[in-house]
Amino acid sequence: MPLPFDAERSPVVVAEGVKARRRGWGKTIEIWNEKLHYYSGLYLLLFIWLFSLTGLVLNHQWEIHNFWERRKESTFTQKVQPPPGNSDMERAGDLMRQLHLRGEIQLTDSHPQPERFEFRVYKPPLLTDIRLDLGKNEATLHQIRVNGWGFMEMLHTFDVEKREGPGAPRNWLLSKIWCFSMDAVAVGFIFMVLSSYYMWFRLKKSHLWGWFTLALGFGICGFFVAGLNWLYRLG
Amino acid sequence: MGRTFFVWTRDLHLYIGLGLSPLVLLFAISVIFLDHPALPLGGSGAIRKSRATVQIPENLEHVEGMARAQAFQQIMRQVGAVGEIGYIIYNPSQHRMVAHVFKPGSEITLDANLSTHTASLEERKTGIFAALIYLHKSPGPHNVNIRGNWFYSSVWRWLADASAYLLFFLSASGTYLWWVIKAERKIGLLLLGAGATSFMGVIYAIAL
Repeated sequence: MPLPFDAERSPVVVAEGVKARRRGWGKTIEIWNEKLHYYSGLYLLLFIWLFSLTGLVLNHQWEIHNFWERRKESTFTQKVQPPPGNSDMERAGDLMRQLHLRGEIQLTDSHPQPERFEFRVYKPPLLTDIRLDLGKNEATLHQIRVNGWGFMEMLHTFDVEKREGPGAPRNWLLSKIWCFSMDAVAVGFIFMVLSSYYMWFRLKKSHLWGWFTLALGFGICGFFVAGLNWLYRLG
Repeated sequence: MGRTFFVWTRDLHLYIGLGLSPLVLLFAISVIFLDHPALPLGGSGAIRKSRATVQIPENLEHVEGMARAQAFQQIMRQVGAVGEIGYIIYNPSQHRMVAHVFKPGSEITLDANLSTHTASLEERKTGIFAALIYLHKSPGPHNVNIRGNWFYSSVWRWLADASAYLLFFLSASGTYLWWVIKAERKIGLLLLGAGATSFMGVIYAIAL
């Protein structure tokens, strides 16, 4: 008679063991999928509220949206040293140091002139247009400050217009961090959507209503993303 | 009562979330393309040009805002152009009116010569990801007096609003569904605090 550690396990026992392990893995994935779903939701809660609220404000002309009419403007001049540097970005950076400004530089001068150098510094809730008179070594600063609603709206669109704008890389650490935050919120949303599909599939025995709402959502979305262009294509 | 409320909240959270999920994906994916301009948008870049003789609406030069957009749409219909008029540039000295017409995945420039009664059309295929970006930014805060001049743009405005409102509901109901799991409160509160700290921290650093 073989000793217990010599004995081979019966095929039935092996199969049950594999099933149990699979059930174990499935349960672990299910638990962690659910945990990560609401952990990410809780971490991103304020970001979600900010982007949802400002999205609504951007699409409506509510009274709170009239921040631009309530902006505060000021203009002043300051003597500066001629900025050194081989590029406009370096010169702008040096001028900002002299003027004690922080923010994302936008080179806006579409019609450069030898005696003039212009650029904009963007730092929500402040916009500063700088015009340097190279003959007089004098910088004229025009500053626009918006209120809290304007600040929130600026955060929604802050530095995401590079595709349409000058196309220069981001040059301020905080604009890079903010863009990273927006990416993280987007990835968080994608994860939450995918994890919700898994949760729905595991939670419900009947998936009929789930399939119906999902198909409705994808149908509407697909109609706008591709259907309209297909439906109204020219000739 | 408590159990019924929980089940209803859970099921509403689930089904509203499932229905809204494609729109959430649309907004999330388009953010990545907006944030990273180097990513390709998938457009063929194909340009289609045509020219036609058109009838110019009588009042076109005398009206403004939405009335002008609606009058211009009569010209668009004659050349088969469909979409939301983004903006119209009017040059009275040349008797020309140029409209930029958008729909997801394509952009049309329609140049109408009001003297010669001709219209030149140029359509550019912008691609599937450009369509996502366009929808993300629609209707937006610009040229509000003519916004919604295409039926489907008005429908999209309603959907975009509904997405934002339903996201508030999903976040509130999701917070409730987490709160009822007593064992998860501590770690949840820590994550909520960490999220709030990083949110306020970045905003404070930007505004400083």
